[in-house]
Amino acid sequence: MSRRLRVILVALLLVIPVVLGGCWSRREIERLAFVQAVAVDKAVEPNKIQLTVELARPSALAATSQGGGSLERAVWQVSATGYNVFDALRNFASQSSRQLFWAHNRLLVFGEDIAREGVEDVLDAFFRDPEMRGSTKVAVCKGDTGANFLQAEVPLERVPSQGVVGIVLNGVEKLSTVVDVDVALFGRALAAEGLEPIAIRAEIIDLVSEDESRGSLERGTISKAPRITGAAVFRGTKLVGWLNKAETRGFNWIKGNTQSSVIVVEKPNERDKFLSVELVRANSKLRTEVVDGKPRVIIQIEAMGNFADRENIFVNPEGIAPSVLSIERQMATVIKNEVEAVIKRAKEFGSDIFGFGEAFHRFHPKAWKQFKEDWNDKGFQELEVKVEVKTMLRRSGLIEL
Amino acid sequence: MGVIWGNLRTRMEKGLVVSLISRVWRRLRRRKKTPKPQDFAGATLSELFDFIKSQELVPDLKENEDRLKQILGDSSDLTFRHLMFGRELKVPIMVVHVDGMVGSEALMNGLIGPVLEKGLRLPEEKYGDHLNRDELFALIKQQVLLLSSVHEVAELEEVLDYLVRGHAVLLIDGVTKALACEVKGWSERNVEQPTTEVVVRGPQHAFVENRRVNTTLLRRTIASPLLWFEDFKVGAVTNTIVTIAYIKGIVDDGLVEEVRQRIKSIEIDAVFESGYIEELIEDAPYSPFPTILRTERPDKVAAGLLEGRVAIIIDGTPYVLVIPATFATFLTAAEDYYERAFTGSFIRAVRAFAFFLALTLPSTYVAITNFHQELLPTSLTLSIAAQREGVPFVAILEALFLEFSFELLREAGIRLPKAIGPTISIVGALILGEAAVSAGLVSPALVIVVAATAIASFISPIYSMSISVHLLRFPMIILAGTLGLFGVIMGLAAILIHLCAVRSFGVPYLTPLAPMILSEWKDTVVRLPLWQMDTRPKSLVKQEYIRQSPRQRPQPPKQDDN
Repeated sequence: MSRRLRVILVALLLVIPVVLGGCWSRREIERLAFVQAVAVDKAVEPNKIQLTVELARPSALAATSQGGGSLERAVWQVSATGYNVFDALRNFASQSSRQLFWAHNRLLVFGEDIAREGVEDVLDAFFRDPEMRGSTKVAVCKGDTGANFLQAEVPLERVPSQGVVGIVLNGVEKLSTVVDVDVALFGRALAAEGLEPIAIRAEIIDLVSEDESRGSLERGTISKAPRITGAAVFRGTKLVGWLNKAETRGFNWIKGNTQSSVIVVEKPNERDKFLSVELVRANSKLRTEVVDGKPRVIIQIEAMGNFADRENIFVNPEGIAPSVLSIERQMATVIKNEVEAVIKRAKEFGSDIFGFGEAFHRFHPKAWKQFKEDWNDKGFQELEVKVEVKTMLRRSGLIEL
Repeated sequence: MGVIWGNLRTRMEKGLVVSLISRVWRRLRRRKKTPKPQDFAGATLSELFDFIKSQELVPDLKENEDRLKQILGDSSDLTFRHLMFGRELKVPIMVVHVDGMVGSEALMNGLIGPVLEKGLRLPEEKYGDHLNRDELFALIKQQVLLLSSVHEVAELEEVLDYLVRGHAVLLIDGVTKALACEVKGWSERNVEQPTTEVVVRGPQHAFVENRRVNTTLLRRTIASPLLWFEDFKVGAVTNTIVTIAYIKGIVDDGLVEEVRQRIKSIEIDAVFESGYIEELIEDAPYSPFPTILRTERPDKVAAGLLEGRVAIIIDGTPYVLVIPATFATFLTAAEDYYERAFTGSFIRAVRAFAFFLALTLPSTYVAITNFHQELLPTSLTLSIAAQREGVPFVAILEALFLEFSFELLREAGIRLPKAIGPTISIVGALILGEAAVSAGLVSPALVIVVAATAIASFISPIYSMSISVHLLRFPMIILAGTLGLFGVIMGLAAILIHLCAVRSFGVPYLTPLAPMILSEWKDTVVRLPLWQMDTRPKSLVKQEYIRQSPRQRPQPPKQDDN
């Protein structure tokens, strides 16, 4: 065989596989239905679940840039049922002309019913399928189904789930009364010893108030809006209860997740007058000890804030200016109250959402062996928690304190 | 026989020989004894060469004239001027030149005028009838001609050579020698601004078609006796003069010898452009990348020479070759050195990025929209999906179409007469860009991708490199459309492997990146200030490694306190 022939043959061998494999699993981008959010609920039929997906409509989304079509909804909601998630997913094919594409899914919402019964059976698909993202947020809709929650829209955003995720991020950043939980984090909490998962607490509120004209945006169908505040507490895969705003911030203090927030304290010397401090920075340290065979944790929280707002400044301009020290002391009290409240609540639920158990597992592995059997019911309940808060007031803005 | 074959081998292009071999062979056999006489009917090229070689100058002027006329086919531009030397002596003298190639002023004032004048003033009584013709020849050569360059030639073949290069040839009756007088004077393009390698700051002249002007430009840039030129004649028919230039003492002698050998081994009938030489001496003929730099900027060539490179100047083209050339050479512009170091470094980074972009942007687009929709931010994905909605072609075809139409535009833009050029850009921009999008035939996102790619691909200062990138884009798109990003990476890996394997005159193409020569990074990855570039490239220079004295950083004089 001549050299030239050999070269040609080798070249063919290299090229042919490329062509034969040609376009394997190629999907044109416009043939995909991009899932923006998914709600998991109990189906009407027993033993079945219902998935509701929010699919983006690219053409409607693009229409805004050309002016018209703003009345068109940018998403389409469709439901399918099945014995498990994968079954239901495939059943969408009987309704959707395009293949569902999950990598851009932002939100996974559980209805309260199914969350209370346990989400164990539906989570597998969200972890296993490579198309599913770990960064999808996990929420539970309080008092309603997930499907109904998907109907709620933030008028600022064309895609509802974008609005929900936006609220979560904004809430974490500005209020710290919200938790930011995604599938990866949720799964980690489920898998870990001595750590129970929490999820975003989602609610539906009426958007249309008494004053119809206010905020009317002509997209006539929007009547419900999402509200994100607090957190949903799980024990294992079962929802056991809710945290309110203050408790959630308490949770965030402990976890060191507080980014920025407002701490409202009562004005010293003046009843029913308040001043607020803008939290600038906060961090926390967790120390674990085993004293006489009993677990104990010490939480050290440091918070630093700027003076932001004070009532009655003009009525009584010179009055008694609040002292920095007294404000700092009050801040510390507020923080400490919140932290203690959330721990008390978690103990009631019997769910160690803080991962105290995990800390013991890590730093006192021998002692942990004794606690781990009934940590949530016994060890965690008996856990002594010491909270130390250090606060600092830094600046007062453009005018005096 | 062997002489003939040897002659053939040196003078003829091999391909020509192969195609004509049987016919030539038969004819050569048939007629072994004497070259073919008078009638040239049916003569082959090699027969003619042989005939010319066999002819000699004869004493008789008339016969010489006939012979020249015969060999030049009595071409219409061949001009003979017969003179008589001396009042009484009347020695016949003949001046031959090719009309249009000589300057008539030089011919008149330097050659014909002085000869006639000398003849009239010659004290004939002193010589009488005994004026030796050879003495007259020497007299004219040494004392009469007012020309700077006069060559004595003895062979008819040489006479012909000088003739067709624009010399006037003077023949004296009874002398079997001739004087080739340089009186060149054809019309030519002036030295102008560079057209393909424009700089904002820097010398604004470019090479022209005349080899002599080009060597002059180099001499004027490098006024050193160590700038050496060496001439070669290439092309059996065109007899093109190819000059190599180098700086003795800096250049590696082995490199010069290699260049010499490669040029000498060229056997081709014609050389019209430096591309011919490039293609016949380059190391990687199958590579899509150029391994020899061509430039029309004298400063660039001079800089190359000072780094120990060799330049090849080819008569008839303003593009000079510089060897060896590495990949980094093609991403370097002269201006990098004229503007401040930071600017130069930044521009280089931009160029490297643009090269990568031009190579991968369309294929990455195809791969992502077809295979990896999860890679883009959600809003961008949805935006692309919305644009693709209703587009009738799959993304890979769409990309190929659009890239192809861009190539059409580019080519048409170059070839079209200057007056119609703008029309093409308008038609291209409006019809292809705007109308195709609004008709829903292509998606706007892809138009943006192709446009960005087009701009990026032309950022290489050397057009040859841009073209290579254009070429490689198509297989990359096909790989992307069939295998996704995996295919893109495979393609890039293949290109990288190829780049690592290629050499240019012994220097690996990716020098100084692979093999890594850290000292050369100062002028590759970044462009350090001149006072830090103290050494020449190690990969090129063997002996004169140090370029300048170190520690030349300028700084203000130290203030004395007292």
